Amino acid sequence: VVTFGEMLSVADDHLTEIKRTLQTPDVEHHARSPAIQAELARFTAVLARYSDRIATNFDAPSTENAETRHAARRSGVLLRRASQSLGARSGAEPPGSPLAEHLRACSIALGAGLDLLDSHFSDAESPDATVIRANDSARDLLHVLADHSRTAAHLTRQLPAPQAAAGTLLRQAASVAAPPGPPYQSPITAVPLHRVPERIPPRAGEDFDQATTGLNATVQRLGNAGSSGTVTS
Amino acid sequence: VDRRHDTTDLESNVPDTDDTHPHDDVRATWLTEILTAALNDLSHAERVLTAFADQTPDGFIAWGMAEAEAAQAHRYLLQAPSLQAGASSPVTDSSATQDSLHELAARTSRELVRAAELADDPADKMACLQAALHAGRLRDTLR
Repeated sequence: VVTFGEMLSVADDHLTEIKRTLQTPDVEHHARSPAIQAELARFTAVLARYSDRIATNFDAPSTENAETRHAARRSGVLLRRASQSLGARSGAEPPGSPLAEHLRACSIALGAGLDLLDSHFSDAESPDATVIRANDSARDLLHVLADHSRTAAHLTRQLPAPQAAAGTLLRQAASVAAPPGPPYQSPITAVPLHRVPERIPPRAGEDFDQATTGLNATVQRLGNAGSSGTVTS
Repeated sequence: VDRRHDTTDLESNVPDTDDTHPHDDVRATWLTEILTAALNDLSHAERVLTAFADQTPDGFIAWGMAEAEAAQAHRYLLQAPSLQAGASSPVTDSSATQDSLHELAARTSRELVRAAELADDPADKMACLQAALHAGRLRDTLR
């Protein structure tokens, strides 16, 4: 069974190939074919679809996590404008170059991934619907979208002037979706060992270190007031 | 907005609730054909590259990378459910040049991306996109 993670991962592999092309000296030659413009228009449209789905919380608007939804909505508007200014999207014709192939592959993988997520909301909602709508999932997705948008922006800058303007929109969309800053870490990576220390009662003649160790233990016990016996004993 | 009415959404492969249309069969047959052809091409490339690598003492340094990419592409493509078991008809011809293999890899990766587009089953899409990635690297290695 194919998972969403596998779809994202194959999209990311093709994105890496695009990034590699961006590092080569003849990137301009690769990027300046009309096929690339159409592939970028389509790729950007897929990214806009994601933003829109996140913005509406997959058709369950709520007042919670307004910040995430707002970011998704704004990035969606910018992505759609970028896609429109890039012109006609590519269709079912064979991709015209290796770079076009990787862009097409990214569009297909991301598109199929979104369909996979959407399948949990058609008819009766699946148990995974809650995970898909969770705020952390939305933020994770926005970071993925930002990475793809930034790469598309780099590529767009190689296009002739009228289309190159879409690069600015794509860069803005990326910043809105995931503000630049320290590398993003999912909240779960910050989870420490959960352990409630034994109480260390104060004793006469303690030095400063012993006293603060005892205080720290008590503070940690109070922070876990829910567990049995942490406060009273 | 009903997204299903957006005809430009070619990525959308939400299963159609209608009855299967005749052209779906045609498309499925076409998909199986293209995947089988790609599989034959990849196993041909793999066999030739293995032979190249064995020919000279430092053959593996020259051809090992390409051989590995061909093998990976081949292995990923085998995961596609639309490939019918035993459909592959091994090519006995083992003559090839770097140029002809480059051409083969370029064609295969292009065809696999197209196949990924027309496949309905996410597992087919997945296999095609992964195999296309390695076929693309094979093409770049042989440039």
